[in-house]
Amino acid sequence: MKTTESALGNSVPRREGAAKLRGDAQFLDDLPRDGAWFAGTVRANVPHARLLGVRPDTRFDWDRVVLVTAADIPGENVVPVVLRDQPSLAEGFIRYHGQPVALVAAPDKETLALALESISVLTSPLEPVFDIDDALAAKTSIFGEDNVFRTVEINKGDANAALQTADVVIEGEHHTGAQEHAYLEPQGMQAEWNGDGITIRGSMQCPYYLVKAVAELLDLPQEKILVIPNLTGGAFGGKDDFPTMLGGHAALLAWKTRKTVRLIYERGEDMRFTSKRHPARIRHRTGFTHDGRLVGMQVEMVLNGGAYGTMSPLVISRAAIHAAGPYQCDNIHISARVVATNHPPSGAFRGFGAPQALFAVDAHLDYCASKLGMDPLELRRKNLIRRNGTLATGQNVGDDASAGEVLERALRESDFITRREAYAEFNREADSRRGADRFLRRGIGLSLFMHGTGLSGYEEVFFHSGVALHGNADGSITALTSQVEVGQGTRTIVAQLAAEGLGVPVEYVLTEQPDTNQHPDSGPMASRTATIIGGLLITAGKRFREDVERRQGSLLPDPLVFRATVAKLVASGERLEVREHYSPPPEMRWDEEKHQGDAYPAYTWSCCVAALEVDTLTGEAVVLDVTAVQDVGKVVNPMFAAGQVQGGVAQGLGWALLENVVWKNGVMQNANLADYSIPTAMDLPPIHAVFLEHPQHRAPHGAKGLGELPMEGPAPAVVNALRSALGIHFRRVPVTPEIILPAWEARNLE
Amino acid sequence: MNNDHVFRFHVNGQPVEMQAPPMQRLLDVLRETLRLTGTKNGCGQGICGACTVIVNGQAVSACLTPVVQLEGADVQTVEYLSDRDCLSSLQQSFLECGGTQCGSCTPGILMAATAHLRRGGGTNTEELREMLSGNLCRCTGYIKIIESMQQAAAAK
Repeated sequence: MKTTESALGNSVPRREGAAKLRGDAQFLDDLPRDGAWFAGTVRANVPHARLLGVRPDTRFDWDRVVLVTAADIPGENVVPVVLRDQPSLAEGFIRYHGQPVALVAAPDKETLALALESISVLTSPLEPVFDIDDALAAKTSIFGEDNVFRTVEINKGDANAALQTADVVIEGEHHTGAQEHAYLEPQGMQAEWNGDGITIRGSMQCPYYLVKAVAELLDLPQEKILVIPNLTGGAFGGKDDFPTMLGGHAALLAWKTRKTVRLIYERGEDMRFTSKRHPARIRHRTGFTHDGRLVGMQVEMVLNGGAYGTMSPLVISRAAIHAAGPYQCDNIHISARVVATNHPPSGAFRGFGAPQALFAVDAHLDYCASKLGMDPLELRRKNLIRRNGTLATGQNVGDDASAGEVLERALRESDFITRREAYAEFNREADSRRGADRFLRRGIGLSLFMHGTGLSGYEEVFFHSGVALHGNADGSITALTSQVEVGQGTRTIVAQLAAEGLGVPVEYVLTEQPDTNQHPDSGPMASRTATIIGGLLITAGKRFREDVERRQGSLLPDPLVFRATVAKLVASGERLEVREHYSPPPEMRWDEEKHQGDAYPAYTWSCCVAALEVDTLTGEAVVLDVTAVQDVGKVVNPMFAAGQVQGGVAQGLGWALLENVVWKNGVMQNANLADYSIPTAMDLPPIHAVFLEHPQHRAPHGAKGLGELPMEGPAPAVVNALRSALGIHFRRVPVTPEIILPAWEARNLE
Repeated sequence: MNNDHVFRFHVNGQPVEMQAPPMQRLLDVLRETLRLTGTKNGCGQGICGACTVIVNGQAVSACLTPVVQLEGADVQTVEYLSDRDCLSSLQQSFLECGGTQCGSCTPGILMAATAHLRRGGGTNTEELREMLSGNLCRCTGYIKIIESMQQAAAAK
């Protein structure tokens, strides 16, 4: 008799991989057009104004197209994300350049282009605000009384008193820039009127957001809204909240035309007018004893949320919770605000506020080490969270405390100490070299960080994610979740996780692209698939097996017999279905108002090492290699996990060194992939991913979140490596040659 | 449109004769006229490489190639690489090594790689990084794409 090997820990090939490689995987714009109309967006061309109306040019025959403005909306004119402050189409005010004011659908591209040229937006300008200090001064009102979407305060002990009595207090201010998601497939949605409701297809992460949003917009019951995500060509958070607006637009056009309408953004439109990573300013005041023990931390953080709230109230929560990093300190005060400006709305982006917070704390820590005259490694070893240590929220991490282990492992894997000495020697001898080599400097730096698994605080309870397993006539079992395949490998690992719970080979489990009629809302975001959804799938799988064995009256360890039994039971008319919903572990406590308690069920701990070489003649920094060590609890699919780390590190290196959104009057000036550079194969180094597997006890299989984490290490590691190479502390990412070169020249003049 | 011309060329071995304006993009011919949607529209500006196809043995961006340049040409797209059910050795390597994630850049990268390998291009990591520099991927960090190509090259 055979039993089944564990489905976890194997590099099962990507289920939809062959279709993607043959070119017959269907993304939205690959669907047959079948008469679908073309659609476009009429946008405001000022950043802040009163909206007086739209004026269609009477020389154009408007009977050839369908035009939708806010006045046409049958339901509520809102993009319901968190605050409900954002209209689907502008009404009364314009809050950012490019804000959608009207929509046009036309039977062909040429007619659409003519119509879009034949309409003007009438506005009366208001003073725009782009800078966070100007926004906080609230001279111009964008949101509420004070232009603050949300303030989160976290207190532990008495930071003020601790800083007054600390031996040494060190201050530092850091800045991070906006970042464009640059998924390769631009945003797109198609909506179809089907008589009494709407079917929406498209590129998205969260199909259930659209069900709720479109029902409100069209004043239809949610049962009349069916959402079927296509394979999605990259997302990174950019297809989390933004498609809620875009899907609403497609739905409005379909509702008014009574046709199928396809609305796809051009690359430039996508880069200019969709969300970005929140720019941030983060100030630290940090108190130490003479020998480098952390005694007090004050962190003041402001994120630029842009014109509307979108996900900002949740982003600022995660940013605040991560603001003190993986360090033990008894006295912490964190004040985090996200403010409104007349930039396009910032939104979800891999890491969700944590990258900004973690960059600042870990770049600041190396700066503190230099002020204290300590080795930054020693400073970290002295202060990192250990077993039963407590984070800023007061959460006791218990055994989930791998900060020290990932640090030591990363030092070994990267040969850090030896290379740091060799690079120091290389830099000391620079002036004695001949030719271009004399301008080269080398450095190595690291960052130590953690990322909370799943959604923050109460959000996971609020989402109440569900999964289902369903027995089929051939004895296979279908796993139903709303995890959308955006490249992360969801279809494959959902099957692996369900198979683990069921105790069957992974081939027995079927997975498909979800739709909102049949697949329960499981909410694919926040690095949750392998851990939160995975836990539900494993529990559901065990219950499914128990159910089958109970009906059969015997244990069925042989997978072939189990499969035959499922087939027999289904054939005899029995309905085999198990549903499982998330409920938080009962011992977890969370106070949302005070942000105190168990913010996450577990943390993924990581250390990232970057080595680089700087050409001081040009200011160009070339990363030589990156080592990323992380304790993920359990690796579900080693090939996919390494792919997440390598891709995340690449995105983090882009944010650190290359990706610079140039703003002018609230408009991105470099909105194309040539002037806004994401890393090419030539820009990237070897990336060495190392996994530790200390299972977390709040998931049946021990896995913790992974997807966002690897993005968070490179920026602080790069800035710390630049300090090691040049002796200069950079306080800003991206740190481009235009920043490095003058800093180097100024230093040499001193 | 009255400035249409007749153009004759081959796509994936099949003769194509079509009337089109001379500046119509090969990308639109492939995706809209011939319904070969494996070739992706990533940026429309010749930067991202998602629409890379092979024309007369050279990897080119279909979004920058007007049909007027195609008279008598031999065009190959990702659909040409495999038989119906059997992946080519290059595609199989991408599947086994994790060389595709979201899949948007994948067809273009496969075509760039195919052109490179056919003309005997080098397969050490530096050579492959240079070859790939015209194709953007946001998911993989390129590591597993390079490993996929090296595995395929080693198997030959």
